[in-house]
Amino acid sequence: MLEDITYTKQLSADHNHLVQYLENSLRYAPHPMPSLEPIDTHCNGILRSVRVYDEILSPYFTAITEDGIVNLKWRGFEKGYFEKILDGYNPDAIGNANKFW
Amino acid sequence: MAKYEAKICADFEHLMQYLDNSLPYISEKPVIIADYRSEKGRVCIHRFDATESVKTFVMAGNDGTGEISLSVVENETKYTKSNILFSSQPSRASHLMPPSIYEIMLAYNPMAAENENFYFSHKLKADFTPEKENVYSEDMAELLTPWDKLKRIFKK
Repeated sequence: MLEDITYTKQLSADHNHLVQYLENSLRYAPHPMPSLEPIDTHCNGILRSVRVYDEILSPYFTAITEDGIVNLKWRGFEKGYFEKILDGYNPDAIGNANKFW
Repeated sequence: MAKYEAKICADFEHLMQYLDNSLPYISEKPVIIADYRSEKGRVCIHRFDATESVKTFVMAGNDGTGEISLSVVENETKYTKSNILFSSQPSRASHLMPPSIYEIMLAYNPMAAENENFYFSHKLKADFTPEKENVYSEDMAELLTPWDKLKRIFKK
């Protein structure tokens, strides 16, 4: 049985900048995953972005960002894969450099 | 790909329970793939698949009573496996057509009691008439496993 892995990290960053980094890093990875329609919600003054990548439920990957906190949950990927992507986040990167690869 | 967004004032747990009870009517495998809580609120992601499509339902908002943002991403309406079984019988198939997520959300009653907090409590009141009773025969109910709850209701 595949294990669910969650990972939460506080990143002092502009929300949209962080979301762009995740999108660039995941969609254009060496093994890019299909992404469903992006969902951004603004509720009670908090902006949240939800990105779901999946290959028919498993493996799947979700990214939820909320005011600079990113919460990841995934199943079926090697340990450390997504942690590395987050660790590589550079809040000062701009444009095409705003990605892990 | 269709996208639907709405805001609703409700208790998060109550709405979650309603969805957990109601989504089996449109999918054989409704799954919560993420339930994220923070000091500022909560985000829950349901996934459920019909025959050929995977839908994503996102709830975001406060944990208690407050504004909840709902977003649904789904493909065009597909038949569930249960309904394909009856596709050669138009009258029955149309009657057994599963509700869409939109229909389910429109029927949500934030004041529903625990034993009525599911989609078909609304549908029964709105649609059920004696002449429709024969549509749901025992044989059909046996085949339609997602409709177990419906079967139990009609036995009452």
